[in-house]
Amino acid sequence: MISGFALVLAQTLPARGIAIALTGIVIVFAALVLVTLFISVLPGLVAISQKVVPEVQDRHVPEADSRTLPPNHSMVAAIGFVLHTRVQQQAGASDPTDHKH
Amino acid sequence: MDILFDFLNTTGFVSVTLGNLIMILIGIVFICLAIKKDYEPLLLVPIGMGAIVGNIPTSVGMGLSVYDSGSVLQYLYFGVSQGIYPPLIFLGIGAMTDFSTMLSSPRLVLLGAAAQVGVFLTFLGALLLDFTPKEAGAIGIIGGADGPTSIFLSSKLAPDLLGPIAIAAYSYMALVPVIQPPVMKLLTTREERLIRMKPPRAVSSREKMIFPVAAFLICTMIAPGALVLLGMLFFGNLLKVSLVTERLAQTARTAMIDIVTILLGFCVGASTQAETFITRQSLLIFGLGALSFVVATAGGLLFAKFMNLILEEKINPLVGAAGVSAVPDSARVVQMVGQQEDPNNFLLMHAMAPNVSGVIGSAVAAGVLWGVLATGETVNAPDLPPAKEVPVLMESTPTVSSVEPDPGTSDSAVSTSND
Repeated sequence: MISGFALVLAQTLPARGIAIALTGIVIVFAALVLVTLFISVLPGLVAISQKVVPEVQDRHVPEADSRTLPPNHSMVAAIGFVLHTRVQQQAGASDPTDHKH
Repeated sequence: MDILFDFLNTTGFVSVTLGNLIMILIGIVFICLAIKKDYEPLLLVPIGMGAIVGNIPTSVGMGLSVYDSGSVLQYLYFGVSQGIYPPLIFLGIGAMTDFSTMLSSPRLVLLGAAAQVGVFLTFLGALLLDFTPKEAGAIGIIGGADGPTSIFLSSKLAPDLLGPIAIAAYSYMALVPVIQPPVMKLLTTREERLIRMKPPRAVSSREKMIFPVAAFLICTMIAPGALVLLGMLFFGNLLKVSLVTERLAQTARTAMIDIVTILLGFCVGASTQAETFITRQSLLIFGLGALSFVVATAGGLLFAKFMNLILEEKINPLVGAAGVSAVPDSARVVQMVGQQEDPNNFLLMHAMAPNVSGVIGSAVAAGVLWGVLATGETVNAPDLPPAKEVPVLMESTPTVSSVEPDPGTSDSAVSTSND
């Protein structure tokens, strides 16, 4: 049945059409197989290139944009602590009910 | 009173046809699908509104539609008819794309190639239905599930079919969550859907920088016809990964791609005038388009199953379905179907690898079809849709012919040199 269907297809379709389809899928596979092979050897190439041209860590740091910078939590916490201490000290100094002084 | 009657004769109510009303209804359906179902809203809203605009009947001589020489819409449509917008969209896509998962799992790249079987089987199907080889090539690329690629190739091979092909490609891309799951469930067992894959490895920035240049060279040396699309895709990605052109990458992936998407979607919609769109050919294209998505999905899935026969470390065959381009919708569908079986199985990252390789694969397929089908023909003036002559009202009124690029310097030169 399959061979009969194939026969009908072969009689109906222009030979050039089948050739184009087969060639096309082979070329797509060839391109992506080569890309796959390249990706497979890429870590090795990068390792070699690291020896020749070592990567400088801070060379390609993206420009800082103050609008997109994430908040520095430790700095915020430190500023908050200092402010809190300061406010408490001022409150303690001016509090008339405080009899420590 | 005569003036009033003359004016009434120019209104849309007098000259509107049933076809126009159907197309306006389709435009409204697109907008509703985008708003209510969230199906590709960035595309379906402009296309839907464009379809409504394009189907308002205008009186002869006013020069308003995309097919009227000298009309504003025709100038905007120029970017579609000459394939200018798709490469710009590819630039933005490149600036958005992260190839890391692909670089960490190279074997998954092959699934993107396998899914392109949908392109070539649809091409044969279109030939069977008596389309010319060029038309069949343009229709076949719908199976690549990549709207810009479909528009690009049809603008080169079959500009007359650009409207139906673009609408079919984008409609089916929007319907990926509807089309793919039944095929995925039909062709896989529950055990296969439960397969868990190893998490991808970390990829160094140097690998990411080398990849776009190398992959571009490999692909375009093999299929020079893909030069424009892949050139822009990998250029956009290089802008992103080089880390020194963040401003350009940011523009490419935000403002620029948004502007081009608006223009492309609206113009494609506006080109769907009833008299050119509602034809037997359009219906056949829609049928073939649906079939091509199913075949492409099946191709990726079955190839993943085939690879599992050889590989020790099994692939979840569902990720093969993401080999159809449709970034990132098909990868999301893989994640969704996988999590229906196992809520703790995260396939999205794995599916992104065949998904982005599908973009490359469909561009290569387009390049092959363009290269093969345009070979041996003299490409002179760029293919414009048949323009209706509009009486020139003023001597200084610009016409499209006055801004047509020199055939020797436009894409014709590109195609000649590439072919």
